[in-house]
Amino acid sequence: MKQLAFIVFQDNDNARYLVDAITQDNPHAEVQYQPAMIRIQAEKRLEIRRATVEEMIGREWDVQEMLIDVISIGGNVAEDDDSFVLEWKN
Amino acid sequence: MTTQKKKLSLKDKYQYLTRDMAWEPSYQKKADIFPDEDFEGIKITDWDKWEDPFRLTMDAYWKYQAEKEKKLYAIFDAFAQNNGHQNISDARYVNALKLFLTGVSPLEYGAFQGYSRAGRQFSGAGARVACQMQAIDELRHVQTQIHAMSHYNKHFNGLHDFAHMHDRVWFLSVPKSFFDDARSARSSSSPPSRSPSSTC
Repeated sequence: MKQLAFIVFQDNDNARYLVDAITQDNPHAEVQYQPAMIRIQAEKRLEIRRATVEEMIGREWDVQEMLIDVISIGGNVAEDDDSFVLEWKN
Repeated sequence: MTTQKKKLSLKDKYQYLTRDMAWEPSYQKKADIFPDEDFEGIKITDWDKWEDPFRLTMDAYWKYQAEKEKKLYAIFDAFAQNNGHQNISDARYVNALKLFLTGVSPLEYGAFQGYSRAGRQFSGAGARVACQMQAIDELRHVQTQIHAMSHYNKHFNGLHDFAHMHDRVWFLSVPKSFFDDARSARSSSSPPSRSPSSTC
């Protein structure tokens, strides 16, 4: 069975940059554009890196800022100042 | 010259706002304060090893959720000012709202109560704070849902007494029963009579 790690954002101006950063760091991720929301899923693991998001958005960015735009997540979370990882470990 | 780090790391902040907010009781015995913790015979050897991977703390929660709610309530306002209820594309949408308000919103409230009670019984600060976070999030959900639908309540029948309906409408008996059981399970909400020898 496939084990998909996923994150879903509201489809807004912030999310556009988040999606760009995530697809750059996770080439295996699939992006689904649904009404008013964007779902990104990948087998086992998805990583969101602060450095990449800051590069895309052109300013300092706090990982927890992401909460404003997140609708849902799937996978075990590992969060620190530099990244937010969603992962199924077994 | 060294400059002081202007921001706490996420890890430090989590430490300060969870472990450092807890204390060892001195007036009461720990077993009396958390009577349910060992009721099922599960032994927790070191609560400090339990750390929430989602390092959420109250300051960040309110900061970002408040920003999110500002956006949401601006939408409610715009909807009300423009009589949005007169422009819904299908009347059945209002029926779906009624189902949601009677079937789902009270369950969010039930989840809030359940997490509050479970958290109350954990002596470990990490798990206790995680329960608190989950509880306030569920409470926020039920509040925003009620606020969102209160506009419809001004213009349509059938939304005025959802808590009453939640207790009585047959098709809600399954979700209601699940949450009633989950909230009242012996391990997280029992009275403090812990052993056969207990006198109370």
